[in-house]
Amino acid sequence: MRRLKQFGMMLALIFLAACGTTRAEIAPTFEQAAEEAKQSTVNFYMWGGDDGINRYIDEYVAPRLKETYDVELNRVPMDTAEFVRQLSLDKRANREEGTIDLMWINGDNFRNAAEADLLHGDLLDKIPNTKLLNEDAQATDAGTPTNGLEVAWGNVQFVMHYDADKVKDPPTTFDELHRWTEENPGRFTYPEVTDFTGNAFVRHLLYAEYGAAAGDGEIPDDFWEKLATWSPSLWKQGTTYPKSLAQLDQLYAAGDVWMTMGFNERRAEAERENGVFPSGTRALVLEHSIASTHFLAVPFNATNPNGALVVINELLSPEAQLAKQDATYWGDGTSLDLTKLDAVDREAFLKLDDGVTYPDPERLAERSIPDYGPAVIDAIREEWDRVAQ
Amino acid sequence: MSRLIVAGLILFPFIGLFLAFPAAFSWDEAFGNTVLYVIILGLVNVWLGIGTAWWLMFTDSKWKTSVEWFTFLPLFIPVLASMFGMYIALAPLGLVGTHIGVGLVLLVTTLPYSIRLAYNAMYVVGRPLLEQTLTLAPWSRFGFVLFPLLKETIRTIVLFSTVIVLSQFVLVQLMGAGLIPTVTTRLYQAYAGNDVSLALQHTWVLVLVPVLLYLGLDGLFSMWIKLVKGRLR
Amino acid sequence: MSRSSLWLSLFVLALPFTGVAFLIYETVGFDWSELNDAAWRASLAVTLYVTLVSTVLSLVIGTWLARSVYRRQSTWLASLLRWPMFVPHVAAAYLFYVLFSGGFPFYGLVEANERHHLVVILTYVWKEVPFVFLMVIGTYAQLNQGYVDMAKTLQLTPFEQFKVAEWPFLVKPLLDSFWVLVAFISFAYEVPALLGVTFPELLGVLAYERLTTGLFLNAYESYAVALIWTLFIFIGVIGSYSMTAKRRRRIERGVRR
Repeated sequence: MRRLKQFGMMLALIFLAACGTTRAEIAPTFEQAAEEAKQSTVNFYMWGGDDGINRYIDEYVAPRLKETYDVELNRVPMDTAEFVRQLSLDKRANREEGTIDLMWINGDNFRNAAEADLLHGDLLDKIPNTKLLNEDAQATDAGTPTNGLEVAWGNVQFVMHYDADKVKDPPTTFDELHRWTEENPGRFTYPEVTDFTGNAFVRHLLYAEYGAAAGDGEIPDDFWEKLATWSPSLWKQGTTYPKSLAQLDQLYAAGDVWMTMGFNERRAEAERENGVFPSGTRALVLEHSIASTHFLAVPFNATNPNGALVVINELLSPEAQLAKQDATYWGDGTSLDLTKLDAVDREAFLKLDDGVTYPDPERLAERSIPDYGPAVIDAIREEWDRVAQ
Repeated sequence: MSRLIVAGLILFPFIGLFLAFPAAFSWDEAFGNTVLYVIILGLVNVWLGIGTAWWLMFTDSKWKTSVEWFTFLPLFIPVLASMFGMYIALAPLGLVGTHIGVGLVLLVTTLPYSIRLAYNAMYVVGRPLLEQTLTLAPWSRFGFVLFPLLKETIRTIVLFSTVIVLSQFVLVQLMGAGLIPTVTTRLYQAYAGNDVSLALQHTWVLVLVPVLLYLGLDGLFSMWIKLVKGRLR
Repeated sequence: MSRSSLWLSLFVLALPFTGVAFLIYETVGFDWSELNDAAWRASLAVTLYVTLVSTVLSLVIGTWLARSVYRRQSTWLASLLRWPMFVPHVAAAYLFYVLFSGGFPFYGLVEANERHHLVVILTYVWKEVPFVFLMVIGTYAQLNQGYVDMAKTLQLTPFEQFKVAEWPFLVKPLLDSFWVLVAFISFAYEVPALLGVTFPELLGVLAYERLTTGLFLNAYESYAVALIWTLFIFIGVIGSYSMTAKRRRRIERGVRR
């Protein structure tokens, strides 16, 4: 019986300790935030499936933060939807002191988080380097207004890559791509539409058929019937699709399929140099390419929001953005407006536009289209099963 | 010949371990956490499993049937169905992202098996034999009689809890909030990536941990038995 | 000793029930007709197929192996059968994945990621046969040889010998194994996620995917499915146990030494 009492006491203590917590406050100015953040740790939650991105954070950003601001950066690899779901559970459980301080987010995950009120607002005026941002990129996230709930971190376009040693006569439009798959059965596939990239590929096909008009999320049956005609000549006759972009890349690296795709026009460069992708890898820009921005946000229950602001400011500095765009690590396009930078920095950015697997930047810019809103993403997710059947 | 065929059928999946050269292994946080959880959960499962089974075996209580069902039914609740409720229950206690929280939910997934295994084993030993031990003090009862009788079961309980713990990904990721890496959470990231030898390295670890633990316990237990026998002589 | 561990066990095992209570609370007011879409229907069908085939095969093979080990005292087989138990399900799924999808030995013979889910079933059978073996071998170890001998003396056919002298004692371990396997396989994620196909998906995979692509707040479909499935298995367990309770008790009394 005594044991039971002790046990009850312990439980009660845990309860009391848990109830005393309150939400952490953001300091009024950036200088104060930087002061508060000294010697603290920032838990940065981000998708961890790309080695180059991880190395950029661990080897480049983290040491700089330690040196300049005395802030420890702890990268936590997790799928975006997973940590957004965790936040929504925190909200539900009234957990005011969470584990996430900073997160990498965009698209429908951002829309979900914003709708459920999971994010800190008014970030822009508190972070000095946001003055350098490309205002177009910052304004909306895949059709959803950002309203200061997130800060643009990078800006990329959708590009396909193919192995020029195997594909002698690459297609130039989505229709030609369809014909190409019929002539080369089993050599093309795209990720499932629950995947960010797979969904975007289907949006490109939708745009090729109906243009911007399909933006309301009403997708005609004809479209699905037409998409179903792709299936027989896809990898494994379209009975199964790669679950993620990483799996598609794996198939491409192994030579099972001859094309891959993804947001970020520079993403294949390091992979090719490291011998993961075939040396014949080249970019393929079809008649249009969705531009996509990805963002940084601070959750409502961040324990160290001041530290998060410091990290965001550092990530938006021209030096950090330049290192990010360099193919050594990541090759991710900058979210800054080059016209707002001084001449030396601008030159440095322009010099980076040179790579074997890079598309022609002018052609890419010319074919850039804005993304459909989240309604289309949802509709594709819901109805695509018909094609997979 | 037929033995060879049967052995081949049972062992052929292990060929997969040798298809690529696994990446070099180094001790890191994920591995440390994994070993920590495996050992602690093994111990707690043996303790709670045998203790609870003992109660179920020897206590005459009007609650017995209900307790029996209460410890049995969780075997059939899918992790996917219970994990969100557990999160909501444990988050206000400050257990999310902590070792205690993760340990607790891992215990939830292993304990029903342990109780069942212990109960079945005691059942086989038989109530009369066990009842005679009630005259001994608890510690010597366990050390000199129960343990030698149940050592195979203890080993099985440890093996089961180890293998189940090593299988948990979604649960550890959710309750640990990503802050507590284990070999399994790393493995999922390796599966998703391009690196076959990295994925195989983690697979090797997942297979070797239970094997080594099982063999190690065997050695430990036979030493103990020798000791006990020596004392009785 | 046993009292404190009982309390701790009850406290720990209250957690999953909390989870189920939470599901019930969440699904109040859910429009159940939403589940009537093609993905869930196809998922139910393929889940039943994979679960039942894997479970029945594992039960039959496991019992048969236990029986031959018992009769021939083949310890080599008993120790060999331990090996699959050392492999966690995730690792087993990956091993089968590299063997059956990489262009290595078995590719073409049976392929991973195809609609008949043969490799999924194979993985489960390989993993679960030793489990069934373990559950059943205990019963054989304490089987009263007298019954078998009597059946032989009465010159019953081998099948009838099994039915009269062995089957009644196997009901309990087989029932245990059956429900553990059904509950586990029907809602597991790792194995079918790695070895299954995009359509139709097994329940566990589909439920998990619908959870992670939307918000927790509007994941009612997955909750509803998880809830129904849990309750369905509860009913099956409680029903089958109470139906066989009388018989099992009679046998247990006879066995007691």
